[in-house]
Amino acid sequence: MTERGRVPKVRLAAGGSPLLRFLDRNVPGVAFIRSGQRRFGLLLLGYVLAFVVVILGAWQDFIRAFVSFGLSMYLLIVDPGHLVVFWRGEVIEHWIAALFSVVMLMLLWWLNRRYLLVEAADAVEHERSQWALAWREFKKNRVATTGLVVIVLLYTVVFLCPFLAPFHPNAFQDGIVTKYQPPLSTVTVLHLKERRVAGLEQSSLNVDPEHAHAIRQLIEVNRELTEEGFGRQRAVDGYHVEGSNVIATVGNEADSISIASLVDSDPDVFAGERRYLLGTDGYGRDLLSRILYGSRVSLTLGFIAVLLSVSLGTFVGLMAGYFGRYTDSVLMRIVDVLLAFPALFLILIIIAVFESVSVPRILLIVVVLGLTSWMGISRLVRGEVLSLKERDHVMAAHALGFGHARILFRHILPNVLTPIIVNATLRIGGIILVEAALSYLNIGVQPPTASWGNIIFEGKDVLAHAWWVSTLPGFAIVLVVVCFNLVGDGLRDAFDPMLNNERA
Amino acid sequence: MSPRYLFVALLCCGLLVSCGKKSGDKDPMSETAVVALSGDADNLNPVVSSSSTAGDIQGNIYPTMFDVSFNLREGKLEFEPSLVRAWEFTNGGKDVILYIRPDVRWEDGILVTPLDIKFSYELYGDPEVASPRRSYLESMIHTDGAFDVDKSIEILNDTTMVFHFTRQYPLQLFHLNLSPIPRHVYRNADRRTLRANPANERPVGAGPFKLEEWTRQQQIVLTRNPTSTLPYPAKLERVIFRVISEPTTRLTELKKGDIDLMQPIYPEDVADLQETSPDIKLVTLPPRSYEYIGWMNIDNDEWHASGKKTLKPHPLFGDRRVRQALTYAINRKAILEDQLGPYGELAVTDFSPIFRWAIQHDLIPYPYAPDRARQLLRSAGWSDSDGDGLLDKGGKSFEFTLYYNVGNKRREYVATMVQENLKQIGIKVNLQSVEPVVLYKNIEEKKYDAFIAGFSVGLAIDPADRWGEITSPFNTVAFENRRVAELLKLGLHVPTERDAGPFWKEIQSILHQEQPCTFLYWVKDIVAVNRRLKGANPNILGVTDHMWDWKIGDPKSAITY
Amino acid sequence: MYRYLIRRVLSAIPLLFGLLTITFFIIRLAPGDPVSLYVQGDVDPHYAEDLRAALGLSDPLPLQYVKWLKGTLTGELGVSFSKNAEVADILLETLPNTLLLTTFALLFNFVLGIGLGIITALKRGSGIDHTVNITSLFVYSMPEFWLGLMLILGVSLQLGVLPASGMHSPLAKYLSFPEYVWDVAQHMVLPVFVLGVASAAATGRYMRGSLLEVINQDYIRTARAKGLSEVLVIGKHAMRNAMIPIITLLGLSLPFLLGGAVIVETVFAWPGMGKLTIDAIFSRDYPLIIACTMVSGVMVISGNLVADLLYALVDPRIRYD
Repeated sequence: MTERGRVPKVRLAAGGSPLLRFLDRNVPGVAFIRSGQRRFGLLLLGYVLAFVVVILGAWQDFIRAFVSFGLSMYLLIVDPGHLVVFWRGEVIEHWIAALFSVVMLMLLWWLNRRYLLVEAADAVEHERSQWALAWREFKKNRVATTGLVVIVLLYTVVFLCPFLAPFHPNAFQDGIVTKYQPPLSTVTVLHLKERRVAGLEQSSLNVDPEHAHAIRQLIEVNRELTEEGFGRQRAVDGYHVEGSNVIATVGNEADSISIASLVDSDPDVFAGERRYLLGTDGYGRDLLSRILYGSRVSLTLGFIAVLLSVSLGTFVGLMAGYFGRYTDSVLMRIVDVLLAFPALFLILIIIAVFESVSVPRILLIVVVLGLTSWMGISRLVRGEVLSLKERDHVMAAHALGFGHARILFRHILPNVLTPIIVNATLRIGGIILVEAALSYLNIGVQPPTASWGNIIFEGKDVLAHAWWVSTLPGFAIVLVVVCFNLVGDGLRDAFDPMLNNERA
Repeated sequence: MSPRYLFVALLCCGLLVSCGKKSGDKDPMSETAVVALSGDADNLNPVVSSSSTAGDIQGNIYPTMFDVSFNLREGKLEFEPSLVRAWEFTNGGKDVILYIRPDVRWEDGILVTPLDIKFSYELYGDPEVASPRRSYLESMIHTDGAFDVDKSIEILNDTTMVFHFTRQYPLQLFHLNLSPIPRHVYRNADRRTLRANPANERPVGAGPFKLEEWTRQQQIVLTRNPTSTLPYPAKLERVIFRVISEPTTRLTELKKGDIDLMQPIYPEDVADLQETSPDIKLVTLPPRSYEYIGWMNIDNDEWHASGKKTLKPHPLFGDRRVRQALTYAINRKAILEDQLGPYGELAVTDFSPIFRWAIQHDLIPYPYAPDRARQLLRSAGWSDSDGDGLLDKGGKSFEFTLYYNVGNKRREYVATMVQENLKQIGIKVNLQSVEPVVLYKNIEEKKYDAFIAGFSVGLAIDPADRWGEITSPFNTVAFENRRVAELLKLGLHVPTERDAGPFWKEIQSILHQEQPCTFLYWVKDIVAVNRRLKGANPNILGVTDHMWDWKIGDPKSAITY
Repeated sequence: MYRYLIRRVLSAIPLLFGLLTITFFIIRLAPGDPVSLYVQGDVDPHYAEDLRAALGLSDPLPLQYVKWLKGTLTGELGVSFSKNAEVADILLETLPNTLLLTTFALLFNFVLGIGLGIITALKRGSGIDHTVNITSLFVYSMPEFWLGLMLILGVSLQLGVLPASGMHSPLAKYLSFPEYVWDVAQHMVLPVFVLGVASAAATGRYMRGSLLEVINQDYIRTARAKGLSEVLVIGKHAMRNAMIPIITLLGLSLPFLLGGAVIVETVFAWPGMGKLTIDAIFSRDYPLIIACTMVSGVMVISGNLVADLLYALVDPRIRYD
């Protein structure tokens, strides 16, 4: 969120009631709107409100997440032996979501306030670096900033998906009733008194009596937090009441359920509806939830893979360009060989080789994507370094007897950074596409974990009668890749104002 | 050159190159049937081929020794004369005399003689050739561990030969049903490279059809063999086997009426087909293959580490109660209903329902009963003592990885369902899909603790591979039971199939009790037949059984091309 | 020039050799067994060993390598495990299919891309320019396979206009020649479109940028000032220089001509090199994998070479010595 650190300083609108001034200071965005920077102010305000809405919408989970986090931290301090109770992905993702929303809100509030104070103390802009100039240039580009805003929102979604998703992405039950529901459809559910499968007995719990209460509480909270939500429901195609039983139709069969096992005897109470905004897949899993959770894979994976490939590519490029001679020819021959492999082919082989090693598939894919896409960057960096080497300041550094490391990292690297950043941004989109393609070839992220690519894959054979499964995640991919490309183009133009805006 | 000319020129070049063999003549298609299959044949030489497509085709090109059928009511194979005119058992059933028809000729006019048959069996039995059916010859005479063709096969005269076996057993005729190939074509062929011998691409057979064209991954075209006397030239002029790997495309072509017979049809497409295509008749075949979840019975890490000596129960699945609990906890009925509906059948054991006489009928399939499962697990010492929501015992959580093959949607569904079901009772399942080439190898080498796999059973009961020696690659879960071993010995050494019934039934009871793996369901293949195709009889032996009797019924609905 | 050419070709040989050697060892290190696909159901359990011996897989790795090397040097590509045929024959069957698809895709790519590039450059800032730019951006950002699926859904399944997959109809063999051409052409439309359109978007952006740069240069202004017609100015003077980067792009697209397109061929079940490669990898068909690598390696290396040479051809300032 570093770009938030570069928000413009605001000249406070003069006057106003004390209430307005209070709002200026405490509601991010208001001051900007009042001082004339309406676009930025509204964006900021909207962003903050979105957090509030999400928290209010999922307040139960929000509170549970904090209780869980608090109890866990407490136990961690007083009795570190119980790691296993809370050290679970599904629990931690809730903590992250809850902490993220609180921290973001506080951060925005603080930044907003700080910039107002700074304004009062010192009105002179002191940042005149290349970065500040580029940022200023970038801001002028409306399309690119829109792309950036969308990307920020999407990454927020990544963090908040436990609160945003209407259902658990992998939860399904009564598949015969719920599978392949079209978007905006509803299914009838009966509410049961008891869980369909009883939870594990607490009786077998073997806990330290000293903290027994806290541990039991934590277990209960975590259980509720990770509850997939369909445990007390039963989806049916239809039902009617017959004496003391409800006859439910499921597929071609009729099932008799005793009314006593339902929450109430009144059909209006025991029967309800479950709505699927974007429909369901072949298991009856909610597509919206899966697409939301799928964003985690595509967005983080793309980001990390690019980070990896850019670091490696830059390193190799620096070495080859700077040391020249044999280092150069050896490294560049390696690059040549790797470039001669068809990329997808190389990826396939590497995944096949390392598949048996028990690394999580996601990690493997990140590494593979990172390791197979650095060659272009290293060529680019090498070229830049070759020309920089001959520049005066580098020559001077040599003459002064500075070490290689110092010259490389102090005098050369900063000067090749801009093309690298631009290239990296443009590359993220490409990597996301490759990841999706891998999922399409069925060697991507392991199901049931949702990723946009494997949702499309799952839907491809049922295109004729369940078009939505493959179609909808595709839009998500297009959106993200378009945004990254926009930002990349914007950055390039911003960093190089000399370059004609119209170029490529 | 203007782009337009370039366009036309390139199109023509491409087409010429890609279809050099194309003939200009138009063909009346009213005499042609089209079969759609999902995979290409791997080879058209019956000695080395192993794909089912190859099996469907070879039987109509090469001579068959017997005309085999499977009697569903009796649940057993029946043999009628074909190339073998008559046969008799002598020497207490150890020798089989075959009387060969004197009037059968290869396509090129040369007579089919016992020499051809002997030569072919020599190839089937040669390890260098690596025939998948070498084991058929296992009970014939071997010298120094190698198949001894001269001692096993004796040619009495031009039409009579004797096969010598070391024992009498129910499958002798079945093992004598290997198709011969022409000796004069393959006599000088290199054994090691037989599978890539160019002659395999233009087979010389004697059956009712002959090969007209084979374009890999696309189509195999058979035409009538006018000189066939086995049993007679095909009634149809031509049959085209199309390889269409994309299910959607296959279905579209079927609905358009461009396909006369197609396999497989997936259960989820049935309703649509019945509704929209009244011309299509769906035939359900009896179940021959089942799927199961394998639980490693022995501690496979120790077993491998000790050079396949140490036999200790598996830390998770070694306990019978745990395996029973897993079967109780998995909602097999829901999986079956969702994935197969009426085209599947809950599997109790791996004895196919087609062998009615051998089935132990009083076994009740395990119901879906998570509470019962939890009880069993508790009695086996598994409970959640640390509160993480997972069962544990001795400080270790009940967690394992379930492997299945990538790209198989049904198994992926099973895996997902199992993960969800077992989560309910506090067991964590990690899913891992792997490429088939990796999966099969690791399953056969017993590297996986838990996996989903399938198995096709033969047309005669032989459970020895599956439940015999632990070292057998097909005993994938390393199940070992003394009583089962005894019963296997008893069951496989009876003179006729039926005598083994009581032994097989007892094995089923033991398997049901022990649950060496969780048997999921039997799969009934669905075949679609266009009603214009008359005489088609897709059955358990294959979709092209008796293809020579196929006819196109209504010439008006012939494909017009 | 010739010396440069010879040097480049010579230096390509060790490159190719390294590529194939790496492939040789990597695929053999990969888990999975080529024969395990055959050892299924009711076959002899010993069959696997027999088969491995027959395929030469039970030899020690160095020996296998020497054998392979000998074969390759004498032009023997070996026998495919999964298809039981000479690898060379398989390639001969597959390459024309790929060539047909990729040639048209490349043509489509460059014709559409250059055309759009010129139009948008000349009408810079107009509505057309913006529409084309935005559309290109979206097309460029689409996963190929998704675009393919959407076209199958819309065009083939809903409208029922074009065939969804394959290269020709089942009975195409019995069609007369013009009908056959028509049949294949219909099957080609969707894959060619998907393959070409995304690259066309990129080509268009390049073309636009490059032409704009040229147009602003002095000599074009001079030409215009001299009163030459606009068509002549753009068509003759500007295009010659603006085409340079595009020509390079063309050279770099060469590998794709024979290497095929894995994803699109998979989506449309086109029997080409891409699909062949995937199948070979998944069935661990070692000889076929190596052959596919070789084809695409040769194409990449020669593509780079051609790109450099073309560059020299179009831009007389560049000399190779």
